[in-house]
Amino acid sequence: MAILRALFQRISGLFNKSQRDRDLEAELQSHIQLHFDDNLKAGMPPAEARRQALLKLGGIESVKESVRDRGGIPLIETLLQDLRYGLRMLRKNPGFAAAAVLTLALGIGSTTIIFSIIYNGVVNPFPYTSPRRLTTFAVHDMKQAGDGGRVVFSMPEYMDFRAQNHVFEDVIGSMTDHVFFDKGDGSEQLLACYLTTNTMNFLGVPPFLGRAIDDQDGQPTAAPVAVLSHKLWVKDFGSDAKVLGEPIVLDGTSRTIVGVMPPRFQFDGSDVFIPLVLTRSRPAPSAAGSSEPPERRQPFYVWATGRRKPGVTLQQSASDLNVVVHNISKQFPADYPPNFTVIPRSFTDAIVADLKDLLLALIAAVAMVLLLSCSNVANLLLARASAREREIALRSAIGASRGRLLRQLLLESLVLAVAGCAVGCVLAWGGLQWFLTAIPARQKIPVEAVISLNFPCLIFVAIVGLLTTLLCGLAPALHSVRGDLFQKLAGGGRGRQLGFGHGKLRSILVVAEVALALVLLVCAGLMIRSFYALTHVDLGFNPSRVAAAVITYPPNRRLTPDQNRIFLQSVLQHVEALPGVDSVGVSLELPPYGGIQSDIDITGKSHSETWNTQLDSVSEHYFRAVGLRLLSGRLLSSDDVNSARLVAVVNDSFARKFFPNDTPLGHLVKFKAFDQMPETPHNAYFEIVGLVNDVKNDGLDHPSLPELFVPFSIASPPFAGLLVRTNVEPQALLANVRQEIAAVDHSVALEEEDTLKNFLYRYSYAQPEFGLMSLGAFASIGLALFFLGVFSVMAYTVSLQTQEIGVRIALGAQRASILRMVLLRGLRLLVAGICLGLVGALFVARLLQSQVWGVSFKDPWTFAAVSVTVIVVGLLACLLPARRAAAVDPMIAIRYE
Amino acid sequence: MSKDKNDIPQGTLALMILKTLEGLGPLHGYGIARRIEQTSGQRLAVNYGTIYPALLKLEQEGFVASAWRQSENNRRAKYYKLTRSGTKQLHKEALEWNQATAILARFFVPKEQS
Repeated sequence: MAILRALFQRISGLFNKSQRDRDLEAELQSHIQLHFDDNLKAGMPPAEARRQALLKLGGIESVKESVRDRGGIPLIETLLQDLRYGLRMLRKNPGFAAAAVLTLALGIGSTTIIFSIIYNGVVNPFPYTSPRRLTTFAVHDMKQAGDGGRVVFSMPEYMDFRAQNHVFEDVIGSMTDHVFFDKGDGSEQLLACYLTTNTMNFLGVPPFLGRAIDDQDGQPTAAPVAVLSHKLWVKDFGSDAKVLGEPIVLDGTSRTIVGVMPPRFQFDGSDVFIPLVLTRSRPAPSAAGSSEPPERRQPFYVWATGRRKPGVTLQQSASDLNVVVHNISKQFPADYPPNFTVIPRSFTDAIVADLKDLLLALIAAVAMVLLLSCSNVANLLLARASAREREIALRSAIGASRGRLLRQLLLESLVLAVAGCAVGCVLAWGGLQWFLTAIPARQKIPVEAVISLNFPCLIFVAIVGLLTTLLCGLAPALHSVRGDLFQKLAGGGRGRQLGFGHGKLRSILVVAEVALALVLLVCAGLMIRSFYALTHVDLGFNPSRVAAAVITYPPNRRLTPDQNRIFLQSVLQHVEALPGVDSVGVSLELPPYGGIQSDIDITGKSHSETWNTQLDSVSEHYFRAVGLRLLSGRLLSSDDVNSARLVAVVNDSFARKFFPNDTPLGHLVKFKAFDQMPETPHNAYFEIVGLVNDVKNDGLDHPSLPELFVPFSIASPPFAGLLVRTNVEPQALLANVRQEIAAVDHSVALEEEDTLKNFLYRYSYAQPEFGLMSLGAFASIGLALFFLGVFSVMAYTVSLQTQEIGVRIALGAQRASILRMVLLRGLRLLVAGICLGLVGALFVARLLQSQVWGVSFKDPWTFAAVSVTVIVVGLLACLLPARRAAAVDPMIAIRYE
Repeated sequence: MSKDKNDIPQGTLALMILKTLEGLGPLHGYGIARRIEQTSGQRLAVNYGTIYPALLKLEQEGFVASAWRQSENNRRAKYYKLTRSGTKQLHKEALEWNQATAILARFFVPKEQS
């Protein structure tokens, strides 16, 4: 107790030092005075009385010293003193301090950001119970390549499966489907997730409001209920807690809202959750006009997801699954290929598989940035330590102990490291906010993921930074306090590289930095090339000034082709009448995708393999709205549309593939796809009347497929793509277009309503742009670090040689040759680094193979351009020190020191 | 200082200070040092300066408290007095000291008795 109290007193003593000193001084003075008075009384002469008093006390200063040691904590006091000294040294050298701190901060910040994204987005994105054990599985046909296969199972399969397996704690079934949400004053298409009733309990996420779906809801007689997702609750219900118990009309069925899920529960990105009623009987095949009560309309097939029992690996589950599924397959032989195997897959992998390579490349990039920044700090510290060799020698000559010197140097490094870590943390936080806004529409990262700063990672990286700094601070410190003091003092520390053996180490570090920067730049360069290629693909049409939307009909509405034509023509008329509209067309799909796939036959042409084409049903102004050019023949006319004539316009790819030597005009084509639709003419031959140029119709990154355009009045799909070419900025017209469509029929829903440019961006450019931006950011950081590293080392080397250069100039060396000498030395390091880096880049770029498009990952132009960039930036970094060297005044340089 | 005087045995200065304060009441550093010297019958070589770190330690441990006051001959001086826990500590240490010396004394009894 007393010891603790004393310790506390001593610690607080650290803070009121001057007050304590004054008090002690007064006390000692009074002591001497009292003693002096006594001595006088004893009859001493005043001078002797004073001398005796002082003598007996034993020296005021030494008493003060011993009291001071007792008053505070001496170790901490000297530490504080060293700290103040260290801070003063850094203040005197702000360039060095800033470089070191910034370097460390960049390394720590960027590493933490990427790790946080990867950890929260890929490694552990889900809020569900034991997400690592969640497993999906596919029935893989042995005849097929790869590991894909059927992942949906009929309800009887699911039920048997759940009952018979031995490896899962439980199995859930879910299926998403679009439902029509009747808001009363309009309709909206929502994504519904049909769940087996054990699902919510299985996933272990409690509802935000109300209750979750439970087993009662799965009874055939149960009242229909629905649970809202958080986003739907916010968007359409105004976050009102009173929604519980209210009805929601989905696909014509009124369901009672019983709960709202929390924001992170976004199973399959759905808007609303509906319980599945388990049944072994297949629904009647014709969904259209089915006599089933609407609330019984539900998917028959589900995705199955199980949670492996603890300790069961993915491989172990595979063998049990194979036995069970083979057993079940005997009941449903038609649904299984003759030879199949069951391939289990971790739930996480199934969702983020696409992004894995890119993330790996990012991890590699981040590791490189961390390495770069660490080696940079090392270099800075090494350079500084050799410059301070003489100072250290001097301090140890006048009696500083080795321990004290080491502590001093370590403390200086520690100050740098702590400052770097602090700035790094700020950078990590701010950078993450920026990154989150840049992630592509959250498509590839699971929607449940909440990406936040990963503190264990931040701490880990900060420790790496701290250790690097301390280690590099310590190495020269150890060296400095060892060895012959006289030699160092006499040698002057500066002007002699012999004194310090780190010249070579520094060169190696510079070479490594060059190599790392080169690898980073090559990766970024490939992404830039790929992105450029992708954004400069010849679409075959001009996407600017086009607004697009997909019109979707309510599920209970089945139109005949004629009714459909009248409805769409009315929409077309309304939209065409809008001011600023040039032309409007409908089609099945929005570019750069084209219609449905259909096998075809052409009269007079025999073929053994199946001929497959894209088939789109369009209105007469579609061609103008997209910007297709007529090459020969004619386009579709309004007559063709009005009377649903069996005519077709083909694209250039079609002509080249099927009519390499003659014109396709006048030939007859049969579409097998139409034979399978109830409302379309069966066994009908269409006459080819026109030929138009190619536009991209299979995504941007694939060549155009053969395509045919037929009048949209032939078929009546429950949706239509709308393309509006405008004379004004299309964004401004979107609201009007929506109004016009609602004026015709407010029960249809609009999706994807946006400009065509944005549509292209969302589906084609966003992910490559994300890769580009993130790798680009890393490459810029890498380049900056590399510049800093080369600059600091060259500047330091030049400053070491000031004297030598002065002598050379005094002896008649040309300033140009001095400049050349320094630049050449830099160039040697650069070239060595580039050779090393090119080899490394080949390995890392391989990871990007799946991410780059339109350019080889070994693209020689990228490699060459990056090498040139590295040399130019490197030489620039050498130029300033070189110019300083050439500008040395020989008189000053020789007298220096 | 004469060579035949003894140094203060290790760890006993604090006990001496506490005992002095118990006997004489509040006293300044000089007075304590002087009193210890006198009590020892001039047999201890007390370097007056050593009293101050010891006093600071006792104060930090809470066994003594200090305050500035006028001395009897009208000088300002810092007076130390025993605190309640200091009194307890004194009794505890005195007891321990007595036991220790008693045990040690047994080792030094004349040989013929053993």
